[in-house]
Amino acid sequence: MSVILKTNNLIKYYDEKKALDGISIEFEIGKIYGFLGPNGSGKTTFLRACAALIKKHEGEVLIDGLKPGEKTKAIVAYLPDYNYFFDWMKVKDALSFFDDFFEDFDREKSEKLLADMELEHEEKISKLSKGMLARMKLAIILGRKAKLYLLDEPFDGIDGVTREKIIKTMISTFSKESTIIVATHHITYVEKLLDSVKFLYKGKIIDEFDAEDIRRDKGMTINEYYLEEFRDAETD
Amino acid sequence: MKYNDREPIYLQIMNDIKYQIVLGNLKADERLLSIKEQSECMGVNPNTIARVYTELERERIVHKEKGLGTFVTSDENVITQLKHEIAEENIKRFVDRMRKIGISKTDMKALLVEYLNRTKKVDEQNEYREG
Repeated sequence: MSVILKTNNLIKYYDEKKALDGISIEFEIGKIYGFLGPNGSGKTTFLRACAALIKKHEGEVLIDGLKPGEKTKAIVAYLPDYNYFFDWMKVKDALSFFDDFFEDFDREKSEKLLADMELEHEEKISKLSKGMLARMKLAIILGRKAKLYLLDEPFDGIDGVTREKIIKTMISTFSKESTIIVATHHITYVEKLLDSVKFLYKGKIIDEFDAEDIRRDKGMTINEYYLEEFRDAETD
Repeated sequence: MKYNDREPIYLQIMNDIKYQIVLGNLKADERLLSIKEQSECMGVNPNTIARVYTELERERIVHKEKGLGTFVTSDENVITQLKHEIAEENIKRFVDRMRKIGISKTDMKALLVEYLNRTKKVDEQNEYREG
């Protein structure tokens, strides 16, 4: 299996606080990963480092063998957990924006996803509800034919019916040549979606495993195993 | 299909496909959905479906044909074997549950025979009525 993303002893400080505490991990091509941990465990910081949005850190990040920068941005589709579009933009402007910036953007696909999620092109982004904004961001990002998708809390603000749609869209976007990393604390939503799981706690990887192995060996759901491991981590 | 998230998903899907074959809902030589179609339709990771097809092929329940897809076996022996496997599982479950409530092997047999005889009359009556 070849590796799309690899980090070596990645450390990031915010003032005195260590947000990432020496992360060394690998993500393979052709897999869907769950990057799971409670709020504040460092998930967002890790993804931002991989999306070339953090300049200063210790250790190494390699995407397809390259340091994060303009070249890697072309193959990495990053879904942040905040709204990164300008206030004046309408949904159609976001489409054009992606069309201009990313060669791998499939405008038709995004338009179809927007229609599936009942979003109008003339809608102003700043006027969208929380749920609508979440849906729009996903419809746009999944329109890219990227090698690596970094999705930060894709299910925040999304209702049950839309969630099913989004999971199906993730599956149809995924291919043997791509990798999806879903960072979330909504574990029950992604049980059937994941190949592999990495647990993050206080800036450290505390466990890595294949989803089916936990079900087979422990007879537990990933969420149950997660709750158990994090309870132990708290008391250590 | 409703999954139990405490058991490997690929095993649950394998068992479901086997069951559909025995029930005749999936027929001999019928083409299964492609991995992509199946995974999107079920909302399951495509690697899981790939594993299901590979395992089923290993058990000779399906066969892959290059460029055409994955097909259900037409080998009657394999299907009979499957039927027996499923029967065995059900018997095991029955016996386990009877043991759990403290029923001996002898009583189990007697109760089963008694049940079959009793329902046989009802079945025959129903057949008579329907006929």
